[in-house]
Amino acid sequence: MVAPPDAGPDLPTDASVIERSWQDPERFGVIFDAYFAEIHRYVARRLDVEAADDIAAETFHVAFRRRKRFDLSRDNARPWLYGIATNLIARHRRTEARRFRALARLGDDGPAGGHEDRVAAQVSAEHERSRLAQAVGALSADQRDVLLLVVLADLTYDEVAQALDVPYGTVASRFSRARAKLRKALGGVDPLHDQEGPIDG
Amino acid sequence: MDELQAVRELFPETPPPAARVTARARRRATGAAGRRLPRLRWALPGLGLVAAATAVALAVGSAGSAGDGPKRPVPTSSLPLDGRAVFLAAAEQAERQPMGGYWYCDQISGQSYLLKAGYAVIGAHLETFEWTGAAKGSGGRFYGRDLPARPATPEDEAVWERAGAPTSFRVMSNGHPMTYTRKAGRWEEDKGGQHSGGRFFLMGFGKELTTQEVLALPTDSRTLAKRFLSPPSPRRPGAKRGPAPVSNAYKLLRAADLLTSAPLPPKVGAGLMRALVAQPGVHTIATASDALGRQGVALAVDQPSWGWDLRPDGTFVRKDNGYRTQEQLIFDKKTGALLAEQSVLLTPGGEYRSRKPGFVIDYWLIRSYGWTDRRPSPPPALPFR
Repeated sequence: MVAPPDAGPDLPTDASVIERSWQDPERFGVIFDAYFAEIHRYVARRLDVEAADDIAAETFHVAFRRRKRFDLSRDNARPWLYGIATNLIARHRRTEARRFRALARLGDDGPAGGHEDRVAAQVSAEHERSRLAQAVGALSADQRDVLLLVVLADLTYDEVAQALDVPYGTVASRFSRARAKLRKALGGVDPLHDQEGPIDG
Repeated sequence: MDELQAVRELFPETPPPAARVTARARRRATGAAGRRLPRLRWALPGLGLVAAATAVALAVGSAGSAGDGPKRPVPTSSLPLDGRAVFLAAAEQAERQPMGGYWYCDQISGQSYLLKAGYAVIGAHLETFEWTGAAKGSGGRFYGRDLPARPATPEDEAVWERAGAPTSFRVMSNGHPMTYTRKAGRWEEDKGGQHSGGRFFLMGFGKELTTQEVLALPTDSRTLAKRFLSPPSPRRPGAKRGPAPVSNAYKLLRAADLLTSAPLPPKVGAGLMRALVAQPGVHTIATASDALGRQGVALAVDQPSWGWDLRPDGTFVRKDNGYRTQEQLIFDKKTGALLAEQSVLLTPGGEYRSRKPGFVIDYWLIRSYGWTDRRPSPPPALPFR
């Protein structure tokens, strides 16, 4: 947030700010200021702006109330906040399903006129996007969480593992399986010989 | 096209949250009830802003001193030997508490604010209730509700009543206005707090522990001190700086957190209490009381007169407070249960120059915690009248 732990002597880590907020609640405003826009953006992209208004606010409300549950051995609060947001998003599966249906829908008005090749390219891109949206929507919730935390939120595997409270290996495996499914949906070669069924722990 | 880039492009960028949305969310994220329109009654935070300190002192000083009530803890009656004996007896009692099917913890947090009108209120007043089933699959929930802001001491209550007993208190907090009201909120279940049970979060493990793992924690006080009262490590590999040294006050807070995070077996809790009292800088107070009027034996750590202050750019700067505080953990003498953790004014000065020693700057009260055989639910009754 404010600075990485080794940036300077007086720059607090998230952990030190949260620890102070135990007794001085307004300190939690520092965490809010550092991450609210980012969490909102993630939820808004994944669901929609209205859901993001609610979920991002709820994320920080929950985080504030549970601030004594933050593991102070972790300097950075980002994964923790994404973890809370992910749990809340899980309550909006229907909104999310609707979102993917909307993303998968082909443009109603068809491609704009123009050179034949360009029209063909547009149609192809449109279909590809639709296939991709369907594929992302068809992922298991666990795989989709990992994929989107990595791709949209730019979390590392390690941070995703912290956020979701699962082992690192589980994150890596969910991610590569999700990726393989998408590649397949886009017509690429599936390097993993993707298997359906039980995924991981 | 790379499928990951394609996914990134599938989700278009969105506009940033509206200022109104952000402001409202921020109030909820810092403990303000923030639902009613505030009356313009300015107060300043009990801790924090450098620039505010003078104004607070002026405001409070001109209205006469609103001191401490009879129920306030008195940090001066420190009796190292007696206190220690009483404390160790309490630790022995902590070994004898029975187990049940559900573990719960009901906590209240609040912070004092000095108002211009010459009295102090407790704001950011929240109660949280959480429970976890011992067995896997038996569930767990987390609830919270806003508690009414209240005058901090009986003297403050008198001044507040003379001021017409206003029902909302507007405070400035690090440049953000917040309003605390006399209204109690309803219990709300935190949507992110549901879990299946049988697991507990204990700080420092980096993961949740199963009930069995919690029950198998070491009981020896030296092992416990090493395990729990040492720096929060390991840091991430590659971090350049090692763990910061652990302050004695932090050790108290850490222990309080452990005791209220999971059903530590009685012998583990007792071992932790013995580990605490053996720490340098930790002394005992034979009799202390909390905001609910409960008396007990306390462990205390005197704090230095300086602290960190928040700058507008979000960084911290070292600042001399001009006052000293003491962190206290209060334990029930009969059961050894943790009753409260509170920060108490030791030497008045600075923002608190008009307050008497013993003034409670903030508190975290453990209303109750422990095992029960029935699935718990948050208590409807308010903790304060």
